[in-house]
Amino acid sequence: MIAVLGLVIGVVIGLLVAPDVPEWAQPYLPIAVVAALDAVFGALRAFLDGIFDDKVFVVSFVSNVLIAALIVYLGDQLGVGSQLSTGVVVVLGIRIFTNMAAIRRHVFRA
Amino acid sequence: MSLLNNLMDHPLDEGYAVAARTRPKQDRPARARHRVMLVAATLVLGFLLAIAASQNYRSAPEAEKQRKELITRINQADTRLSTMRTQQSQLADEVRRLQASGLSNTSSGAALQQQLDALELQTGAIAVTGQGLKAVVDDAKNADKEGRLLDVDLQQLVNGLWTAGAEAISVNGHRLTSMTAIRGAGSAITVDYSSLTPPYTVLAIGDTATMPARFAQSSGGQWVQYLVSNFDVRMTITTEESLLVPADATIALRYAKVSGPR
Repeated sequence: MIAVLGLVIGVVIGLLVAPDVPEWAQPYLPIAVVAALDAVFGALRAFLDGIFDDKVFVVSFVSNVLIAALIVYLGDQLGVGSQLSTGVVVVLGIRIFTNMAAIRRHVFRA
Repeated sequence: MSLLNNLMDHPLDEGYAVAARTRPKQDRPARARHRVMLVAATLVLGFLLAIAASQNYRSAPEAEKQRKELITRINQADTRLSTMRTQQSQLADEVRRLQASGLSNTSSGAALQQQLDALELQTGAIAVTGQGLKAVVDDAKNADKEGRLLDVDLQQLVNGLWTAGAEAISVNGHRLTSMTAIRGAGSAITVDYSSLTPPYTVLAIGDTATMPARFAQSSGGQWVQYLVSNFDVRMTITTEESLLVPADATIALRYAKVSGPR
């Protein structure tokens, strides 16, 4: 509940402030968002499994975002930035889908 | 494949399981602090989502803005080009005047001047006036691919006018000389390397009594007539008492020289 509230407030702040994303951060933003989504879906599944832990969630969230950005940055430096971001999106996408399947089983029992 | 299998089998952070195992059975003292961190993390997530979305949303008008800027720059360059052309033709006029005043002093000079005048008239180095035809052609009203005039159509029209006895021709203010090319560039027609926008106004100086009929009989005239009757290309031909066909300011030979003794 409190997490959803935080999410909504975050969206509202983001829309109201609508800061200009600096040029250097633009390639990392979408990847960071996908990584954060992965952490959130993992947390949701853990919550439904009954093993949710706030600390693990926060740590995984922050590290996911940072590592995703770092990988893309490294890829940019090596000249394979777009390929690496595709790879990151694929891996995180698979994780999100698998977690979503588990969540679905929990919620709908199917 | 083990990497992918691992990915599919353990989508959940191992940390959750570890934390669940090591967690003391009784309730957790640091709960309140973790709550705050949880809210902060979700807040950051919402914030990220919102700015990523709004960024994506705003970059669309950005592209439009860049396009507009490019168009302005093209227009500026066009204006600059035309002012420089005018300047050049003014300077050419001045050169011609000075040349004439220099040549008129001697009798051989005067003969040379006469020869020069005749040549300049024919090559298109000076503007000429006279009676002639004015042909305005335009793409079909609903200009799909078929109803659009191509460079070859304009070439045919101009060739038809030459055949009909035109002595000087200009297209949208560009004098046609022996070195003027009518070509297609993308979807635009370029004359003398400037792209034109329809309608195309073709001025041809010549005998107004015979030119319309001769043009209609020429292969170029028939070509254009075919376009008019089959593809709804619009064309109006009028005879004018006085037309001004401008000079081609850029006419110059850069490499060709007179061969042998004269």
